[in-house]
Amino acid sequence: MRGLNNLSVNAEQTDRLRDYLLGVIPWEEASDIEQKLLGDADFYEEVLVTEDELVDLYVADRLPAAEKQRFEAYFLTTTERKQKARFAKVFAAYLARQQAEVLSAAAGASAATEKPRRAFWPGLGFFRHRPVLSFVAILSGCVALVALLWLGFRPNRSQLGTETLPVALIPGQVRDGGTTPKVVLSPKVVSLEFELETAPAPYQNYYAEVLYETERVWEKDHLTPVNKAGRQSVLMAVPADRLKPGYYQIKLSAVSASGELELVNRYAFRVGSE
Amino acid sequence: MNKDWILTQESFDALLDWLDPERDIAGQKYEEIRRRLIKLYACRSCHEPEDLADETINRVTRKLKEITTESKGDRVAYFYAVGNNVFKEYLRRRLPDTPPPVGLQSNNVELEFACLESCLAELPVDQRELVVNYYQDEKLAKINQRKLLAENLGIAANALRIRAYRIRAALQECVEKCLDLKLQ
Repeated sequence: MRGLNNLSVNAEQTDRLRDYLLGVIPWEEASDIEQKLLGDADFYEEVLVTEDELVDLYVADRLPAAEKQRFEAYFLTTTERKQKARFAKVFAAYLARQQAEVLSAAAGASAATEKPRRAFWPGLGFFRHRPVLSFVAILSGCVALVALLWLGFRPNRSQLGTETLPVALIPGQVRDGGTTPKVVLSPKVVSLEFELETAPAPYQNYYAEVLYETERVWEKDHLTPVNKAGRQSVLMAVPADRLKPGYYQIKLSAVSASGELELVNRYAFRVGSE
Repeated sequence: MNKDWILTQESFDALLDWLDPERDIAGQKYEEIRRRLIKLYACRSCHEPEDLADETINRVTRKLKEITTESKGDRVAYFYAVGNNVFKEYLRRRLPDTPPPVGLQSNNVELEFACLESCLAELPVDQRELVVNYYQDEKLAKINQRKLLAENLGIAANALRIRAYRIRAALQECVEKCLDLKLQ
């Protein structure tokens, strides 16, 4: 396979290509991409791969509304691309069905290997014929158990020592040159509070998504901007268990009154462990 | 533009000579350029990218004498420049109402599954496992699965991505052929 291991592709390049495929990048940038597409075999293949990934996101209904609209109106215009989308849909449905069958077979096998249990009630003949008494007894038992558990294992937040890690990001910090902010997740960190710096804008509603390569691992809408010390930023909490070690990108989009998304900024960060 | 101009064998041979003195290599280059021009026009949301690619090649072929006497520049750049003119003309004559996208619903789901199963069965075991495992699962599970796959194969994530794509492309071609046969 030609040049397979020499291809260097990062999330930014994939994003740029995705924007190109949806026809939402400036002409000069598109021209660079197109000349490379014509002259570079590896890059041509990269375009094909990115097309497939975009189609998969569409089929899985995981494109934001504005991109979905662009996909249908701009991208899905040729027979070849429609065939790609049809195949992606069939393939995804087939894989989902296969997985469901495997899970169902595993559950069936597990149930079949369990020994039949004796009924619980027959040994409690006294209670079987006195349902009200049984109910009161069970209820009392439950209350006592809950009380015991509460007294014995009362959660103490300071003892648990969980943390929310604040992370301030500015737009455009990229991987190259080692400038990408690194976030270290200790076991105590349960969530991250991202502060995404933005230029002052008239928008009151933002949508943000966290991407690991091309996969969206978290998204949040109805985010409102806050002003602190003359700077505007958007705050977003992300559960720490969504972030494995690696490089990530946050795409922040403004939501217009009509619900359309407009990409405002991209932020890069990487996650490392202690 | 001379719309009556026809690509003759002689002019096509001249194009191949211009692309490469070795005829086999020239043929491959021709195919590659045509394929990539089709993609370029598809990326510009043109409805008939094949027609536009052929028109571009015809025009370059027609201008070969001027091109070869002017300079021996980058061939791809010529195709790109001529392609831009072809595209501008296309935009001028394109009808404002473009057809809506075709729905992706299928009436032959079981047949498609049967073809997919048969095509998967034709793949070598390692390729079958790779393509199924690569595209299975949802979101985070998929990310973890892909990481694991790349580690097991001892290749980088992007190499795995390209490998999975190639198998998938072959699978799609096989399924389309199978459906064509069964729906005849």
